[in-house]
Amino acid sequence: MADDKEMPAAVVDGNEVTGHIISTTIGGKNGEPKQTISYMAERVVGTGSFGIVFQAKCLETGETVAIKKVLQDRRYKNRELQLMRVMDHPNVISLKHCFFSTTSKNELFLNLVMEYVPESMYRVLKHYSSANQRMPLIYVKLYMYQIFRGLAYIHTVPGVCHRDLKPQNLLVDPLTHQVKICDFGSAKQLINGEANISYICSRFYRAPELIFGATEYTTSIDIWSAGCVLAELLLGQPLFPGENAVDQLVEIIKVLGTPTREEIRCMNPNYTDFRFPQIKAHPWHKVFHKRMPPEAIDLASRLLQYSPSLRCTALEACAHSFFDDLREANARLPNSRPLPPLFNFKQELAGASPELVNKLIPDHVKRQLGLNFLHPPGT
Amino acid sequence: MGLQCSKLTMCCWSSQFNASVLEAPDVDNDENTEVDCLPVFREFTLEQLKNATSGFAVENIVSEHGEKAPNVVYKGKLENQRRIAVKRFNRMAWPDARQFLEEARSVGLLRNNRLTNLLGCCCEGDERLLVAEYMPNETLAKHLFHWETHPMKWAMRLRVVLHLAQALEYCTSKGRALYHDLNAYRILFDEDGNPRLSTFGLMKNSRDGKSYSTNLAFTPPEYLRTGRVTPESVIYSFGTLLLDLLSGKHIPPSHALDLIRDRNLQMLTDSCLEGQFSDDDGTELVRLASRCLQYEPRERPNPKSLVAALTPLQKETEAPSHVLMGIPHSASFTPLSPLGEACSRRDLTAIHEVLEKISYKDDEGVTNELSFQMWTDQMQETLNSKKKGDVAFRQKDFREAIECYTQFIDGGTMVSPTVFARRSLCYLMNEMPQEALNDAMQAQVISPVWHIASYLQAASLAALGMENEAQVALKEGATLEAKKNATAGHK
Repeated sequence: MADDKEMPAAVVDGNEVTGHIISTTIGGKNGEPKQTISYMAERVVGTGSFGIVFQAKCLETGETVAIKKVLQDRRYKNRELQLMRVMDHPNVISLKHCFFSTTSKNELFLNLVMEYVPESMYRVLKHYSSANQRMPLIYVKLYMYQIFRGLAYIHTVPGVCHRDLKPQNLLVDPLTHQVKICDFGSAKQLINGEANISYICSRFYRAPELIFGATEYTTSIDIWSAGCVLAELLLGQPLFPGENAVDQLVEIIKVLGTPTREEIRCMNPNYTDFRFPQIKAHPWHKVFHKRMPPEAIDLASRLLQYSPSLRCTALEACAHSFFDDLREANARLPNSRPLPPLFNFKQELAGASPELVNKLIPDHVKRQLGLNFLHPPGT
Repeated sequence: MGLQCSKLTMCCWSSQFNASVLEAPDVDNDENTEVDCLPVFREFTLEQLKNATSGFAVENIVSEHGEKAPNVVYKGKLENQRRIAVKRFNRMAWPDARQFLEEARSVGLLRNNRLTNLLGCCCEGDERLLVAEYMPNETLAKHLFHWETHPMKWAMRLRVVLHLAQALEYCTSKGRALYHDLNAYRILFDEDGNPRLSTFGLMKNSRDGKSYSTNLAFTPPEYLRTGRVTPESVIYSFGTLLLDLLSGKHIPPSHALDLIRDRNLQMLTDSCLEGQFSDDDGTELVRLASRCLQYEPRERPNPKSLVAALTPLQKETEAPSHVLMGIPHSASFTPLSPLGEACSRRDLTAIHEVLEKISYKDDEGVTNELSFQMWTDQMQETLNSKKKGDVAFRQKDFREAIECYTQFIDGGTMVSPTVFARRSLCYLMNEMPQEALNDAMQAQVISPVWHIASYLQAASLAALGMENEAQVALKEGATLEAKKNATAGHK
């Protein structure tokens, strides 16, 4: 990864990336040898108000990467870069390198070089719905578990709230079925008692307290978004497809019923307009198709609660019985290949109760760890 | 249909008041020891229920979702002034008329003051309707979840669960333990502010006679396993209601159980209850809730033991419910408008003045289009008789006014609630209270939320010596008038 203080700059003309070769140097301090890295831009994989993301190939190593190129305001540090530098988790996209580039118009761009993952949850969902199929439950479990593990990490270790969790920002490796959370462009470290903007998060996945204009929200807004993703994987379509900001609340009310006075207070104590039509909650078991396992319904209902503090934490979600299958000793992918790593927890377990840790680490893994402990390698 | 077999027991209503009741009421005071003054179950004609609800007027819908809901509940008033709630099922709900009648008759045998008792039903053609006592003070969901001025007190919440447990105990003792979709919308408050369980939820409808669908937000676990609800499932729902009352929010029961296990009551408790109860009280209720929410149906308590557990927890048992609820009681009356005041004093001259003053402006939106008919002779005649009536009314020649207005009404080309109101007053002036009442009722059929109609009913009922009923009508008139003024203020 590039050094903290100074970053090499490469001059690249214009915005046309495809076919361009960008070269940059790394190292050269503290006696390290200087090294040139060149990226061949291959294709644009995403655009947005932030800038563009393109797929590129490192000419020296042959490795494929994703480069996110954003306009850099010279007055500020880039928050996304600051956050990405500290994060290190199997379910969070990792930053390999970064550098500045300028154009002939003297615009400064920041290039975030990240690992490349070929698919997104959005495309996987589309694949199933275009084939008129629903995602097999084992994949729903596998994907959601990894999303929660990634969230548990970012919420507790760097203390970051993603603030834009949605299928487009969840990358999936089609071979290993490993999931990685990406796009920390809206992410922020939330500090207790400090106000944050409420106009974040994409519409279908926005927590109700954001719609109510709350500014003192917590990482539980990501849990709501994850609940929406869970429901979407189970249903094959978004659970709350609001056509605009107000309609988004209507869609939520259609399922959860009108929020009670107490629930509105929990979402935003400053909200005083209570004129909503009284709508009864829709039965949770009727939200999903018949024969949906009760554990799936239970998890969805625990994630999608109006009161932010009642939504479970990401780690508690990982321990939910919906994911018990993944903890079986003989759990495999449908093609009988092994599951991606799911239990190599690190700092994210600090602060969890012993019962929770006990539930999170399956017996067969405990035995393995115990065995390794008794017979350290090399004896 | 069915009128030949049903008897109308009227212990409250005097038999003189049978102007259009189709059968002679049988006064019978021996029955109904559990509930005073309640007639036995009967069948109604569609016509009667149409009249009672002003033709199922949208203004009379009291269920949420308005007219779009599959089953709609209307408020209404029978000819004997009894206020009723009428549930109208959608066409598909009860294809088998016999099954519907059997079920309704069976529920209609129950009589208890913890229930909104089922007074009758109607089964004509495709129509399936139920008639129950009307509860004027809204649902538990409203008072608990969507309160307007103040949250529900802890003492009242405890009373609600006790009354509910007693209702379930009664139903169980009568062999009707299976309650359908027990939730906060099924509990209604009567005029004294006492909570009652709706009998509509006792009506079960099933294609195979065994399994029933459910619309509970949080379903008992056995329903997800077997697709069936049992009496024990009702206790599970009772547990979710205990959580509702404790938390003021919708919390998945499995989640609440986790919080209870972790002794995290703070997270669960409604912030409005702060300082209103001791930890011991809370713990006791939470313990009861977790017993009701047991995964294994047979481990849940029965209604009898619920009553036993809840009785010692009661608080402020001396305070009447309407005081705890902070709802106006018929005994303590809100100040009346000049017209309401005139009606309560039976000051007919003052009523006459008001009616003169408002003229026909309340007929707006009711009167027929005249553009074409205006020119026909018949129409002209009708209008003339109204004009003559108006002159006589102004000059207080009430006998003449009755004659002219009757011509107008019998002509039938136009409908005017004001004419009925005026003739009603004329009858009162001429000491013909029964006729006055009929006209006041007719005015309401045409114009369902017109306060003048209720006020004139109050004056007529008082003249008939039916003081209690007069009070109810007067209160209704005051409520309607206040509502009308509030809407006018918004415009």
